[in-house]
Amino acid sequence: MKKILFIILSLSFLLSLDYSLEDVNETSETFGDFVGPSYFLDQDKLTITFFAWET
Amino acid sequence: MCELSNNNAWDTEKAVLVGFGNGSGGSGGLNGMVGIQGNNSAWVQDPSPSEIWEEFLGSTSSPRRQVVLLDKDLNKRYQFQYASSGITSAQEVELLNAIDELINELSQLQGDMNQDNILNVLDVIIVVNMAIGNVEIDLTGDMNNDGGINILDVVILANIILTNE
Repeated sequence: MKKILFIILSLSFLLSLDYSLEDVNETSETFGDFVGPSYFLDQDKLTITFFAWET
Repeated sequence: MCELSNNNAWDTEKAVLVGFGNGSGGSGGLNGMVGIQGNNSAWVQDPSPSEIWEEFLGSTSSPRRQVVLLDKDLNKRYQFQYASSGITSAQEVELLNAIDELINELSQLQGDMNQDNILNVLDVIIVVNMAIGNVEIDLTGDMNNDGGINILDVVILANIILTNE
């Protein structure tokens, strides 16, 4: 049972997504902070990530 | 280019927009994007090729103008693709509904099956009933986040209640 639980927890970890990148928008409240889904989750906030630009 | 901002109709106390740029930045990259938008959203830049872009969208060549929403376990729940012509009213409703759903999940106390904001024996009874198949499964009772309801969830919930009494 412990092995199964370990595998399930490991899979859950592998499937989870996150990033932590510097907010470079000077007009943002979090300017200069490294933000991402877990950063805002710690503040009980949902992150809406808009993949807006690719160069 | 971008129709989304923190001025959209979601509760900014509970959900924040992050603009994500993949590339080297400069006038054609995120710097340009920030200048164009000028709103109060967070904007981040990841150098190309971006592993994050690939992880979230499935490929480094996935097109832009996509929104990804993760749940409280940081698992991807929604991925929306928008055309360059803009977001339609139907798409906006779809997005806002998804945001509302995830905000509600975030604010719900894990294990609080009857939504009375208290963890007690009533919640344990509901989880037991779910574990034995008597009632429909609600993953609010998934205390160990393994994607199901079983005796382990009952034990964890009971321990939390006993510890806090």
